[in-house]
Amino acid sequence: MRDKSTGYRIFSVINVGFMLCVLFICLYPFIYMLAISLSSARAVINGWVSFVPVEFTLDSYKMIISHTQFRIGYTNTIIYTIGGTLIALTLMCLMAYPLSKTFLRGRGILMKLVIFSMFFAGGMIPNLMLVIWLKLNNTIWAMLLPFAISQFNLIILINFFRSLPDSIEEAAVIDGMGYFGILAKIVVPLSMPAIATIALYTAVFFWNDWFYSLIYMNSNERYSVMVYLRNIVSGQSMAGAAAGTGSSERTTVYATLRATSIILTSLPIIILYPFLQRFFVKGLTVGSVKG
Amino acid sequence: MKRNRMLSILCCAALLAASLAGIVTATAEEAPLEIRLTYSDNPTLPFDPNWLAIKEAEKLTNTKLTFEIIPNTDWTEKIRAMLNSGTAPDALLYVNAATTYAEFGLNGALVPMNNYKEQWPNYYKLVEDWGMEADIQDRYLIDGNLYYMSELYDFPFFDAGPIIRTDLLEKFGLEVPTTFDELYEVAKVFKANYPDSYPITNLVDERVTYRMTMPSFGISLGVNASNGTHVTSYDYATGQTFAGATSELYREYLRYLAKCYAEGLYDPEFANASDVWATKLSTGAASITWAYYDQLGGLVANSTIDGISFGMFPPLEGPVGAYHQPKSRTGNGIAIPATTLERRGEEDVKAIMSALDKMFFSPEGSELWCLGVEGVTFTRDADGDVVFNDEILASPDGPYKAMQLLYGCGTAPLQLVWENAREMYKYDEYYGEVNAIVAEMGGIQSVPPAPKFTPDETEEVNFIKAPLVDMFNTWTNEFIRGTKSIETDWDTFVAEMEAAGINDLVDYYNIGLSK
Repeated sequence: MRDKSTGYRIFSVINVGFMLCVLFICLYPFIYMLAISLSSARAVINGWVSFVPVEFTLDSYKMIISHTQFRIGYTNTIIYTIGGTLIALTLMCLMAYPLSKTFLRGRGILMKLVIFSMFFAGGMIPNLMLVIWLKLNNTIWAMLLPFAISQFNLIILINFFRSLPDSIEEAAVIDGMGYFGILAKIVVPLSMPAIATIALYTAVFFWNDWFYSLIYMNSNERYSVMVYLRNIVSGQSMAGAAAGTGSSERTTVYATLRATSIILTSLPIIILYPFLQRFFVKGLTVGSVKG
Repeated sequence: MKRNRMLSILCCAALLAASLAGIVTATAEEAPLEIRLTYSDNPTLPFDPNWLAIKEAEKLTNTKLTFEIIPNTDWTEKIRAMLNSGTAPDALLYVNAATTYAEFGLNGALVPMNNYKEQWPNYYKLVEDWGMEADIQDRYLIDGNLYYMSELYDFPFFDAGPIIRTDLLEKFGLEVPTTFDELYEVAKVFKANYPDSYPITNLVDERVTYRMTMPSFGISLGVNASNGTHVTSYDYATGQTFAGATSELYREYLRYLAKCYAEGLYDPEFANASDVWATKLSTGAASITWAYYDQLGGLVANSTIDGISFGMFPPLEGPVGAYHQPKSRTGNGIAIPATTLERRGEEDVKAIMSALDKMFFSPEGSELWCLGVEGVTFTRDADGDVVFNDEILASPDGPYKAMQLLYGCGTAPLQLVWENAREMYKYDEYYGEVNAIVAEMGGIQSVPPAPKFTPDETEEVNFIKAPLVDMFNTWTNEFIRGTKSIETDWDTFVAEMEAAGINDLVDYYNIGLSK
């Protein structure tokens, strides 16, 4: 028993030590970026920064926040993320609930359409032309509506709804509750793990998206902050790409500014994880098997 | 009778005056022509729709400009989506020969500009004045059409080159090197005195060094190869493409770099894309590089080394001469999408073209985008030389960057006429001197002519090129690092490249050049 206990303790020490190493490796890029963003340009260019800020300054934060395009992009991203997630959750619940009912007529056809569109998407240009035809391009709706229903998330939700005991809904029906009431007051509250997981997936998608914002929008007033971030992070490699004529904007973006942009754009979504984590693991597995 | 005649004359005069007034009023109140344009946005230069240069250009041409801002990292992707979906604005700025131009021109997505020559009088005047007819002819595609009006350079700038620590040259009593062999000797002295350093380093990754040094060895290869093929080069004497990657010229180049690498003179991280170039130079970890002149200020300002100084020098002489990277006298320019013609009609398109010609290529338009407005951004002294206003002169960014940020002058997407002497006002005296030296020595070759390919040929060329590029990159790194021998493994490399079709690629290019 004592031997086992000693062995267990040794294992625990090694295990914890190993995990701390893994944690450090995962966190180091972020810590490094944070340290760079809070250091002076002189300290960064001289290679003095590793874990902690050197010549602490908030100059790069002030500079980034003073960039009109950063502020506009940030506001847009918050709107797209909150609006897009709310719309997506609402529409997906409204679609998943009836599709979770085996007695629904035409359910098979609808499910086949969902699956078909998951595997055979229209492609970028047809989607863009559809958005233009609907006169959504360069409007907030071009970001909110096309991504309202993700087939993958919808299937997770359908399976989760199907796992809820029928007897609860039957009791509600006997008490005179309609389908919308059952969905809002019984199914949704009981499905919080799945909904929170999908909310996280959706919010991360909207937060990180730069491509659709780039394609569907035509002005700085509508681009998301990720378009700005991508441009500023790629500034250095662009300087190495110019192989043509003469004078151009070659001056590279300061490392401090790039680090600050990365920190400011990744922080909110990182903060979101701990709040949704308690739902997350359960939500990932619970909808996968019909019980 | 006399009274009647008098009355008639008065009436006629009144009518004439009224109609003239009407014309004048109509002209004065003529609604500005609305033009939507693309703007390629650079992260170091955020676009401002209220830039003085834009407002003045609108006044000059009685236009109302609206810009669709496209981040320059994704410019091609966005333009492709716009043209494919028919949502492109009236005119595309920043189109160039390497990207969407040929692809969309040949597919009918762009208006053939050669059909509207009379709308571009200022453009063709400059072409004639600067003797650029051949350069423009080279922009015609295989269907005999010209699809974009490129920017025009009277003479290409020497804006980047070999950069060396001048304080170290002085400290060790060394002359400024003029050849690659002399540079090697200088690097050895630097290494001997600072054994922990790797004197020669790259900006971003090896591509900048390659494109700025290879021409002195008679080749231009890699990502930024001047003919865009990555593995072939252009022979200026014969006007033919040759298999640069398997030539003895390249072998000689590799020998030089491998020697530097083996002796610790060349940065072991030469192939890694990184952003620590400035750190290495500012801290003394490196002392020789190839980069842009306007990057030197930042290196010195942030360094803690007392007396550190850098100099940019003319291209170094190699086996075939002293050449910087080849440069084109035409670059990015204006294209009109075919959808503009459908949407706005031919008369409007002609008006747009005439306005753009005046805006960018007329003497007053080109001066506006370069120097701004006389009396506002600059004045002229007794000799007629430009003197910038105090705000520009006091800017820590220097006149070139300050004019971009404050007024929108000198931004690459908007300035389309580059007159070397006029540009030099924005730089210090030394920059002008080194430019004059390089011009004198003929150190900048022109970019090789573009072969004329059909869309099918373009696809075939890309198909052949892809494996060659991978092979070239892998072998190059191994040769420089010494894991493959330039002497004993060279034949295997050549055989592999030939088996992968490098000679077929050369043939395609030479046939394309002969069309």
